[in-house]
Amino acid sequence: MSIHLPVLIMIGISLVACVTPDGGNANAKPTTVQISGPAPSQLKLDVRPAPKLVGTGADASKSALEFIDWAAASTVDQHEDGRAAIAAATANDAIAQALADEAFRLASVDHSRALIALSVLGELRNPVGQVALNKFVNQDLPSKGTEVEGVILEQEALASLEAKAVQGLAYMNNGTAIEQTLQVIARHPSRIVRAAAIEAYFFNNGDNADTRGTLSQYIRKDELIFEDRPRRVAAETDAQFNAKLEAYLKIHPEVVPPAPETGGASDLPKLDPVTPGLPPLR
Amino acid sequence: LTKLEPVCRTQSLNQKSLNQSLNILRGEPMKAIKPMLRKLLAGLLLLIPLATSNAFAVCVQTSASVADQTLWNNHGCWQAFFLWQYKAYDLRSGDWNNRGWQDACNVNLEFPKHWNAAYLVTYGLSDNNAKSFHGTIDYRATAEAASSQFHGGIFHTATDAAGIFGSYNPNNGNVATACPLYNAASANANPASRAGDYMHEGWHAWMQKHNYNNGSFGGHRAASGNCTAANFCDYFYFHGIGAYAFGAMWESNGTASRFHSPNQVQVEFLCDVADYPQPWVPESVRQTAKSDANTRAAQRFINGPGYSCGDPRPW
Repeated sequence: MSIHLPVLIMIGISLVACVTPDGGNANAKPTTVQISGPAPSQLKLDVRPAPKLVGTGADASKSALEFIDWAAASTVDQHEDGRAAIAAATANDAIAQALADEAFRLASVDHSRALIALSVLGELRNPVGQVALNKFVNQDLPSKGTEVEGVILEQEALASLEAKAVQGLAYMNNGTAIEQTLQVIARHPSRIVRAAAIEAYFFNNGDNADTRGTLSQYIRKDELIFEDRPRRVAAETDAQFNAKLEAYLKIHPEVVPPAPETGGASDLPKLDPVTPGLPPLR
Repeated sequence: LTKLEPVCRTQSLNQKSLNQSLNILRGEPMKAIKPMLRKLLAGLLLLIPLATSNAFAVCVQTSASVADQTLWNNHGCWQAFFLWQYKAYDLRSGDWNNRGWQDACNVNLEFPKHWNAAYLVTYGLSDNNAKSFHGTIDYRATAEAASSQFHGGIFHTATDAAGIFGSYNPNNGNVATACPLYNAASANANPASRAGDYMHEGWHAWMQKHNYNNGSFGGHRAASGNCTAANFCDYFYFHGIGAYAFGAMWESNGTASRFHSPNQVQVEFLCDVADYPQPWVPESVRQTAKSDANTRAAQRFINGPGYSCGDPRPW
């Protein structure tokens, strides 16, 4: 017993220490080994101009990857710079193929980088790119996978990338691309993609009687409301958006929701107040 | 930066305890059974970390999405911010100790990703009165821990729970964000979507504070109308730009004319990130915000679709 008691005490100490992971300190500060740096506004960021999309073969692949790196980090101010660099490469099939290869490769690796690759590929308006975009849009969606909040995670992820791809397809705006986009609106299994195709079709053809007449031949009857949904675009004022919304609610009174329900809420949890002060100045 | 092994914070203490215990075992009376006891004790001590809920079952800690990385590069791991953020979001070391609490500049880990998203909420919106749905003041109050008109006190944790992006526990105020918001291969593992979930779960807390009932499926409704996300559906309470002054998102009047649902607040936040961010917000963050907003708007509203955000030009 004289031996067992100290052993038990040490086990007890270990247990307590591990349950309160800071050795008894309820909320130790987070730490890092990195030396503290200045506020972000004081950092000298690497603001590079858009790299050129050039080359064939391996050079094209390298160029496409560098451009995706730049594009992912680019800011609003660099947007037109990026568009100009992409437009300058529109005839380069090797660049289109390299971007397409990267988009397919990234789909299950890094969704955000895949979005950028598809974005650049769509903006490129290249025939090889069109073939790739149409192939991308029509990939089978997984029917099994990780169920998260009522959706299959892998299915929704690929559908949202296919939605990005159909924007590029619609932006080609030639005869075959228009037909391919309309087929997506009519037949694609995902509402996410169909909705994106409708938006893209309007964007590239204008919201007018002709566009609506064409769309009405393809759009599913239970999705006609997607033609009228409120669209917020950057150039419009609050008054313009609000007028569109008001018109939408007049045309579709059925979308006005019922009054919210009350009751059933439990007592608020009792937590110690937090006093963080103001966030540091950026 | 290299990956830290997900270990219990008390590893060094355990090692010390183990050594002390082993010293005791070196006493003569125990000599005969020393090897057996030593193994038994070592086994027990190794089991202790496993008994804590977050010991090994953590999200993927080997990578970060390009959206996380590009936003991260904007601040370069700003320590003054994360030392404020952990208090503002009431993050507790015990909940995050194997998720980057002691390696707060490693963007591959959950705590750094959590504060990276909070950085976006705190500084990333342009607050354009004539164009934004709501302002930083609204989104911060929804996401942060402090009790206000937006909700009672809340605190943030990360969870390995399957089947959710996040959750709100009305009994203890816990907003938990799950691995699909952290694992780089997941579509929602980016700062905008993660922050969008802070809005969503924070709004469940708003519902509790103001005694609203948003449905019997964990605060949502069964799929009907234009909603295809089984049992995770909301109504969209359409409102114009300027209908809510910045700071007034919490207001409601008991009717559908002045109200928000959790998915709606999330979509409006994502739209504001995508369309009216600060000029330094990277394109990859804006693109992911737009993608998430439009995906949700298309399939999570009974009276949907919600607004569509941004123009559909590819770049």
